[in-house]
Amino acid sequence: MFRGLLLLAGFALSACAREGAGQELRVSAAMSLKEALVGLEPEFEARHPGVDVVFNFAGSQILAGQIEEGAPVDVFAAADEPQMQRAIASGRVGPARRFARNRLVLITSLEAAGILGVADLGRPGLRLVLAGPSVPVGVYARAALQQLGFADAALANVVSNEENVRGVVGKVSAGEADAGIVYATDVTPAVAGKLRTLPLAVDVSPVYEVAVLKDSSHAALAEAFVAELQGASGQAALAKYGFLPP
Amino acid sequence: MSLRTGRPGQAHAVLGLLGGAALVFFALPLVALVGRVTPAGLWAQLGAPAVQQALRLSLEVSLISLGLCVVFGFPLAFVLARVAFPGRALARGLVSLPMVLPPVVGGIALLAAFGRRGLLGGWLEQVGVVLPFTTAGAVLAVTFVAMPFLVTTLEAALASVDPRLEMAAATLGASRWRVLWTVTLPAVRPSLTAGLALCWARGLGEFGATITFAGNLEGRTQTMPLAVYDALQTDPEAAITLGLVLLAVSLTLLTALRGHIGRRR
Repeated sequence: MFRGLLLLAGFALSACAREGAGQELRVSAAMSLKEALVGLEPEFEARHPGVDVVFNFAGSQILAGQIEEGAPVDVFAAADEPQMQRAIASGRVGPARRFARNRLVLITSLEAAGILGVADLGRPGLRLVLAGPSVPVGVYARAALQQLGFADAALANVVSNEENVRGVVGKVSAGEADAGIVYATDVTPAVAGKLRTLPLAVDVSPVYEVAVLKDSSHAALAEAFVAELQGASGQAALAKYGFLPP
Repeated sequence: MSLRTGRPGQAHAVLGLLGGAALVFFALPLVALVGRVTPAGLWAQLGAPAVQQALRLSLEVSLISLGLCVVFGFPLAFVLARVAFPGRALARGLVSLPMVLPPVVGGIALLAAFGRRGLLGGWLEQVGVVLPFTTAGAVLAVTFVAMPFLVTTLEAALASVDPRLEMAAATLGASRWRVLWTVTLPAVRPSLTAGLALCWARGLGEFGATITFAGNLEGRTQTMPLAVYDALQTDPEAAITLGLVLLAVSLTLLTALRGHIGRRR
């Protein structure tokens, strides 16, 4: 039995040792940045040999909460100012810099062909899915509905508050929900054929901010990653995935 | 083995040490959770309408589900325990599956069956039954995940009831229903209670299948676990308090009902 325990401990130790090899840059980033950041990862790693960028993608409000609770993070990229401010208020996060913007779109399921615009979102029985009111895209979507004057009717049709933008995309592309409001960049090639996208003419401009954690053990590397996002190659990669310049 | 041969003192010490470590492992996070809550905070949270709504919905969903589990789960356990049919082993495996399946996979499977584009989705929509994003959907998700706990507990108990007792009752002229009611049920009562406690507690804690299949909307599908997760995104203190409420309810259930069984044996 003791030999078994020792063996177990050995496995655990060797697993830790493997994790410690090389430098690991931990980036907590808004869910909507997933494809773009994963897309620019190889180039960054090629330029910084021995570095492995490890992403933690989730709704910005979840990431900000994790930072408040002391999660080990080197870089935080949020999809709105309030969540970045919340992280900064924890005292762990340095100054924030804008590096991209996005656009909102209305998505509808293939079955819901009758939805031609926001005005239809208040129709009785329609199933609207939004991100929750603390999720950045949920905040933007509610602001958009307010601005267009359809908030009350549309919000009465909300059947689920998702924890991140991809939850909204999933529910609509699966046909369970009739419509949702997401970022233009979330209609990725993987789902583009499974839903319809309609423009949203609103004056709501989602902004992305990035900051380095003050207690990062790879501060220089973290700064380099932020510089990459703001620099020419990073901006080109973001543009490729549909993001707008800051 | 070493308990009987060799030095029992040493064996007991080792077992006690490891067992104690396991107990600390379970207790420590829960104690730490309690340590983060102030009585004033707890009281304020309990008074919040959103919390009361989630609590009420959780009780409603878990109790309706418990009823469904009994109505369908008891017969299922009975059939599995007493009727030899081809594929019984597979059926037993199927019934236990939701206990080990990630609940989110259960949720996806429920969508595949009862969702709009699911196997029965079109037919359900025609007869006007909507399950995703409704309280009924939450009940279905909870039932899917919790029922196996009742069925497996009951099945083991039903299989171990001495058939001579039931035969004796039958030879004395009791009908099958009467035998079931007066002999079988009392014999499995301790397991039934334990199974109900496990089933109810698991149902109260259900998260993954519910949020995947039924979505997350206050008052409709946002049960306590979903409310905890929601609160965690904005107000971690509230999440901890809500979690503690859930923990207290479940611990009471498990201790009262399962502890009761322990004393009987």
